[in-house]
Amino acid sequence: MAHVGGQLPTSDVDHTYTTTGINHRKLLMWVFLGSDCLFFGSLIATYMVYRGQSLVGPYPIDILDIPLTTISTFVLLCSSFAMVQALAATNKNDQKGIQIWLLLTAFMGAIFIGFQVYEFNAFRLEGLLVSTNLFGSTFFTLTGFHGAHVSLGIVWLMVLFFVARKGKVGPHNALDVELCGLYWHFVDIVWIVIFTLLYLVGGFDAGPVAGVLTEPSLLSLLA
Amino acid sequence: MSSVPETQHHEGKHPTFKQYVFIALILFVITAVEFVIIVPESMQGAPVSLAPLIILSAIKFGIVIMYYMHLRFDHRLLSIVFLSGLVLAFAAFSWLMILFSAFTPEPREYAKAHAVPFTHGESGHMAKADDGSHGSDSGHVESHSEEETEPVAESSSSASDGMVGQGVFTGVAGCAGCHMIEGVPGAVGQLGPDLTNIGTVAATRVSGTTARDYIVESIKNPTAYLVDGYAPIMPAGLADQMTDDEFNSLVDFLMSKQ
Repeated sequence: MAHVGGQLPTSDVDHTYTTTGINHRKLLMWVFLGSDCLFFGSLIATYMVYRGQSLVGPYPIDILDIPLTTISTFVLLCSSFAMVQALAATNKNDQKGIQIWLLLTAFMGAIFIGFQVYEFNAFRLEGLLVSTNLFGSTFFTLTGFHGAHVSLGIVWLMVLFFVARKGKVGPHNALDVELCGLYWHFVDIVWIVIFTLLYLVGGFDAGPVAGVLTEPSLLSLLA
Repeated sequence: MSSVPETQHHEGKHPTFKQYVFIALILFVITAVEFVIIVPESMQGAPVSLAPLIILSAIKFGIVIMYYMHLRFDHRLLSIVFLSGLVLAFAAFSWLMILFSAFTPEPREYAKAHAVPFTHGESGHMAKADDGSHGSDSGHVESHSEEETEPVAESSSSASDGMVGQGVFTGVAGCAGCHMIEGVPGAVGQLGPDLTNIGTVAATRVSGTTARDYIVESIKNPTAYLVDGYAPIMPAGLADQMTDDEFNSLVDFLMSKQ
């Protein structure tokens, strides 16, 4: 925001002297991401703590569609690659590239959200709501907050895209793109964890009755 | 330290386009491998799948942070700040798990005793669709029309163990779609023999075969001993859908039906 107009020389932004030697905004972003780890860590822990305690179905195995979610995971991974390219294009002042890669990143993020909307709706039709059981409450809270993060990222990317269309994104404010990228990749790694724990590991939980792999095995791994 | 050499260092080591493509491919391959790991039904939810899945996703996690977020090439303070959050989060996660699971297992025991098995209503789109059998699937759906919300709890005399076997019977294995057992909600199927007294009957069916062997063989190899008056439609391979523990619980449960 501080360098609108682009009259600053390329090097000035990166070389702003601060006591830490790091740009304050970048440091702030990493502090935020560190704190967001705690946020998602708590939600994931809540899911795992209540795992296998639902008294009525649907249980994970009844409704989770793992192949479908694997596809949406691929899409999110692709979007991270596009984001990296958007930053590379910004550093090279490749105006066309900036716009294409930003738009592509946002587009793939939107596809991911589309999958999530489809998934949530399918669950609703199967009878799983936030209030149905502990699985529903913890699942929707966790993945819903992740989806909200992705949605916010899409808005951020689109804002950057429209700024880029006016030719106002380039090496002089590459940090703006970089920060957005950091956020975007973070959302991606959070999904890596969610996908593994909720789908690949916990996706076959058949409720407590026929439940396999409840917490003791995970505990033995931690201890 | 001055920030100028820092930046040069940073620029010098920044991955190239090719390297980014390579990194993306690694991430894809790992995700594909993770998916392949859980394709065999024996691996689904099995403890052995846990370690590889967690290690693989930790590798992905690390790759994205180090390269896509170029933490590896950036100032160390950024790593410290982020990793502090991550480590704290992991510590909180671990502690919560221990606190709620190891110290207070009661809620889970309660759930084991009181949970109601879920059966799909109209659309059983992904429920074990690959058991490849015609007979069992239709039987499966049929049985759910009645009393599917009946709690399973009271009928079993033994506590949790019998409940597990009963849960397998009415749940994952889908036996209840075709076989009835008096007193077991949901077990009202008519396509196969009545199993209400199978624990006793099984011993008398084939001379020289124990009741347990008879039951095990009949599940693993449905055509081994056929009961007169019933079509040989029970699908083979049902046992493959269960873990060994589930299978044993199921047999124990059936043995208890004297």
